[in-house]
Amino acid sequence: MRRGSLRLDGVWHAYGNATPVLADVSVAIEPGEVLVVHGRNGAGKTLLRIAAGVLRPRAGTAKHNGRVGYLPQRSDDPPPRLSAAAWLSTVARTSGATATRDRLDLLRMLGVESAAAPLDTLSVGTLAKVMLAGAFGGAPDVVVLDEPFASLDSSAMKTTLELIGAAATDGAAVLISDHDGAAATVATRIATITDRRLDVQRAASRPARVRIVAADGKGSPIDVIVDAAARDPLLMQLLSNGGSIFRVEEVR
Amino acid sequence: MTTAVSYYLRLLAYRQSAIPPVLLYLALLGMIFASDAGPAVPAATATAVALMPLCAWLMRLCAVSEARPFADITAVALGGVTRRLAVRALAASSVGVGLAAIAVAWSVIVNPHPYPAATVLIIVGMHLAQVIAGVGVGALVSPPLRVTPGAAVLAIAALVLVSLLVRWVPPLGPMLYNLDRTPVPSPMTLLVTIGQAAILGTAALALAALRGSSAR
Repeated sequence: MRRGSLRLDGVWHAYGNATPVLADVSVAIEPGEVLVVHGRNGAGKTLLRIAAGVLRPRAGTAKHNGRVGYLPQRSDDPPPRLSAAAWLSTVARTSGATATRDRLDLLRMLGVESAAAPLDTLSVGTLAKVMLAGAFGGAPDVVVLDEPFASLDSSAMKTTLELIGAAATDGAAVLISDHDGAAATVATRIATITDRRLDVQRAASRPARVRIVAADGKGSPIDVIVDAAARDPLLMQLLSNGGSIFRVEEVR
Repeated sequence: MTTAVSYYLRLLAYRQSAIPPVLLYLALLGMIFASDAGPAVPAATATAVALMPLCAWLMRLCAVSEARPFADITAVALGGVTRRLAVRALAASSVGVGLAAIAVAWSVIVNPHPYPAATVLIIVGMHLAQVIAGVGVGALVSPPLRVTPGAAVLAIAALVLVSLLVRWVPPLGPMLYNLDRTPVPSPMTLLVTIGQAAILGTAALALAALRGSSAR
């Protein structure tokens, strides 16, 4: 179970002496939450880069708890002669999550059978899948995705949505910039950047979810996030098996 | 950290852009030691001073060897742009240190002058200080700071020129004017001269880290 969280407090950012692209942005993404940011301007990209820790805001703070998996929007000019497997292995070992295997499995799930080809020979779509495998590999606590569906076929798009859902269910905090609206089905909250500020609303399409901290009949700890509809059956099952319930809280 | 450094060294090798400056440096060594290059320390001054602009350019090559999306992923994997800068500096330095080792070994083997252990140590220090200075200067003209290739070349060339012409401007001036003379100056002068080049490089790296973290 992952316990990722992301918190931006009073974030301002401007490039050089230009007008700020972000003004006083504050948002917290808790474990299991998926925040989707809409808005067709550069501010979303800046927000995601700040959230991922690539960019330091001019003012305010950006903090995340745990390891970050990051997918940038563009994938132009990949490193030459470096195979997808070698690059994924480098990302895995550099980030401290040494398992390269799960990234190769993710790549297969996304429809790429061989990771032996050099990155600079791959099509845009395949390269996007390699980068997605890099972002989701190693079960990151915080997942930051910049337009993850931009270059994907419908099958890979479906798999990516499943990966996002699975990561959130496992307790990851997920932040997505999405202009196509495809991520709305997995969003717990949707935000728009208007006039440099972030306007966050609860996603209508996503049912409320709860986090249950408990112990089963044998005393083994349980820490899960489930849809609200599954809460009562699970609690009943726990109690009937002699388990203990410590905490039930809504996940925003 | 080691994985990331070797990743940047692989990128340097695959992009092949480091070959011309490295060959140029080796050619310079060949020219300097083709005949009697003079006493040990003055001879080493030339080979050490040439390392500064070379390492500055190597640092830039490391930074431009990966496009921004991939550089961002590297930064996230490493835990921030400051760590990425440190890794790039280590990669560029490792090439610089390799060239410094070649320069020192070449001079000891070929130059017909005495090379006592203390002198070799001084020469090694001179080269390493210029490697650090070069890497630091290079960080200031490399992504994520937005400096065009032409502006980077001009900035490095201008620093080399000013530092060569004005004797107190580090990293090159003090080394040229304090060390390139006979008899060899006192150990304290040597230490200060070498130290200020290293300090300049470290300060430049710190400044690049500070500015780079909020750059586009």
